[in-house]
Amino acid sequence: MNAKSGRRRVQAVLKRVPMTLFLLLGIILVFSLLTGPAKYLKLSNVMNVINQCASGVGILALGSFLAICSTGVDLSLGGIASLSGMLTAKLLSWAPAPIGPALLLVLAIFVALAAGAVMGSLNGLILSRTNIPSFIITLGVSKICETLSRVIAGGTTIRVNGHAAFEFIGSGSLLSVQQTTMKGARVITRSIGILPVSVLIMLALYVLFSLLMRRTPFGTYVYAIGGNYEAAELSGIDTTRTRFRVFLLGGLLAAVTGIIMTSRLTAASAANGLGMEFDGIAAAVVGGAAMTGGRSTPWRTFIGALTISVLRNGFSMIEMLPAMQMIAIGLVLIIVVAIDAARNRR
Amino acid sequence: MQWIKKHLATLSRLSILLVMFLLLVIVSPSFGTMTNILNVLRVSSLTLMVATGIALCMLVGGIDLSVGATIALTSILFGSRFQLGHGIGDMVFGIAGILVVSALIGACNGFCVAWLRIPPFLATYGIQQIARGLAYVLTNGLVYSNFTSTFQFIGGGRILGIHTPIIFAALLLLIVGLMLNKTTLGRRIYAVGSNREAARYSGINVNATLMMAYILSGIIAGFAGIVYTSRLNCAEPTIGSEFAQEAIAAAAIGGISFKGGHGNVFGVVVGALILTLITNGMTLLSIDSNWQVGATGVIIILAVLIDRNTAKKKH
Repeated sequence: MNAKSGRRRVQAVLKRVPMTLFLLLGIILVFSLLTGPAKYLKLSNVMNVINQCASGVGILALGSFLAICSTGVDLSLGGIASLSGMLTAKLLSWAPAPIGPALLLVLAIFVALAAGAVMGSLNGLILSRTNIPSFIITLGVSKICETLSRVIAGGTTIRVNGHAAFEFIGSGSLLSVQQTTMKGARVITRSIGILPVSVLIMLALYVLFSLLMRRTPFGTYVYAIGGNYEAAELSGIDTTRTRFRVFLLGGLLAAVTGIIMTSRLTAASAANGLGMEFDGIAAAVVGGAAMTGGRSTPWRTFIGALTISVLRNGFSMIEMLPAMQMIAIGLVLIIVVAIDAARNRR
Repeated sequence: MQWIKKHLATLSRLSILLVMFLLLVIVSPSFGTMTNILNVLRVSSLTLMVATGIALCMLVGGIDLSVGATIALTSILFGSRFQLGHGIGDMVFGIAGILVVSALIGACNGFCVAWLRIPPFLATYGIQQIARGLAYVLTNGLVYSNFTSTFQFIGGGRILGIHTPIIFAALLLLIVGLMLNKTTLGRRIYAVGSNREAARYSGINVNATLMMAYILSGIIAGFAGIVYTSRLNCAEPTIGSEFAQEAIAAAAIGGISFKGGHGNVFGVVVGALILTLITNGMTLLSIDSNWQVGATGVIIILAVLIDRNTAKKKH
């Protein structure tokens, strides 16, 4: 083996690493310099970011990726997450419940997923059979979900108290480490979960969707539709069914996000999750998806979702005002999509 | 006969409006009074103004989700910065300032859509976040109220017994209607919306036309913001959040196509009135106000499905 082939091999490996990873590392570097590496890179904050990703944009971004990859967009994901989270909380706070807590948990999760499936199917039914722009139908469905969520909430926050099994989904961990810190003269010992259940669910879903996109006809069809709709239809792909499934899966993924979100907060308010669909789009596009469809993979989307979570966490760490965060996220969304559009024009 | 055929869609919308009106009169006798009719017109006039702006963006094949935030930001700017004194001159300066700022917001939208080629709903959402964020930053947690009585007249006064917002909305419709039908800009807007490539090859400056549509939508939203602030006699950063979807619903019922190039301002008037009658009817039937947001969602979907220009079989 000579030096030349070695270099070539390094280049080949570098080519397969998505550029987004360098962007993510760059952002982490900037934030750790701004807040101090010891404070920013300590285990509790790192796990915090990953947890926020799992209960936030992480799982939902897969739905955004699927919709964008098949040349659509799904603006109802945040609304569905809000509705599913609200339904879970409402059912679990049912008192006195006619059934045992274990059965109630199963029922709550089933109903939340069913709501996601129904709303996703509504998107899918309309969008697979007409050529109405997807943003307008999903916007309408989002408003319907938001309304249902508000009506169920009845103007308050629904709390879920004392349901250990349910809290385990969003806050539990299979493995924890003890970390001791000195605060003045006192020694504080904290237990930090390093294998959180919600993160494992998220990773499992990414593995599943990665296989789905690479090894099944469905994945091939989605890429084909995104690449060239006419050609996909002419080559005999059932585009109606594929588009329907894309939005159905999006609804289910948003419902999972809603359940984890409610479990982590042990409460649901109607505003939870609203607007998250735009984080999902930003994550998918940062990960390399093109708004014109047919590009990127689930794992690249994962890096995009991590990037968005790191940004949100970092803005809080440097104590940016919430209003300034709104402005910053708006700017990030515009810049990211503008770069994508410029790349496509070339 | 031919005239009926040509205007079939508009006539059917008008008849829906009439049927709804008659139903409401039968259900609630107080509905048909002049006071209530003027009230319905007053309520719908703000939605109508904003919808006219959004309709321009929809006619060029886009959308404007930033109108609510534009209303909030201009309202805050007027309350916190532009209302320097209490004289008429100060007020005129303030209103001029607002119109400039709202035109700038529209220009940002237009720049993102035309030159950066960002999908309109994403570009205007991003700008909306930035504008509302700015509104929060500028307020410092304050609510501005107690404007001068001259300013309050703009949104809350009456001329010959008719509420001022109705008069403003009517004037705006007249101007936009004439602009769309009688000027080259209007023709260009329709041309760009129905076939962008063809418009480009026939020598129309597509980017400039897109830009104008978004700037006009911004200015109209800013103007609606002035009227709204004056009527509320209050400026805070949370106002106006429901305007975008209501206006989109009104434009959709009014037959403005989401694919661009189809529809007219008269349709938007009927659309806004139908929407207001629905929400007014829901209030009369004492339905939880939360449902009204959902109703606009259902209406948007139904209107798009019914509209034959958009709901053709796919591709």
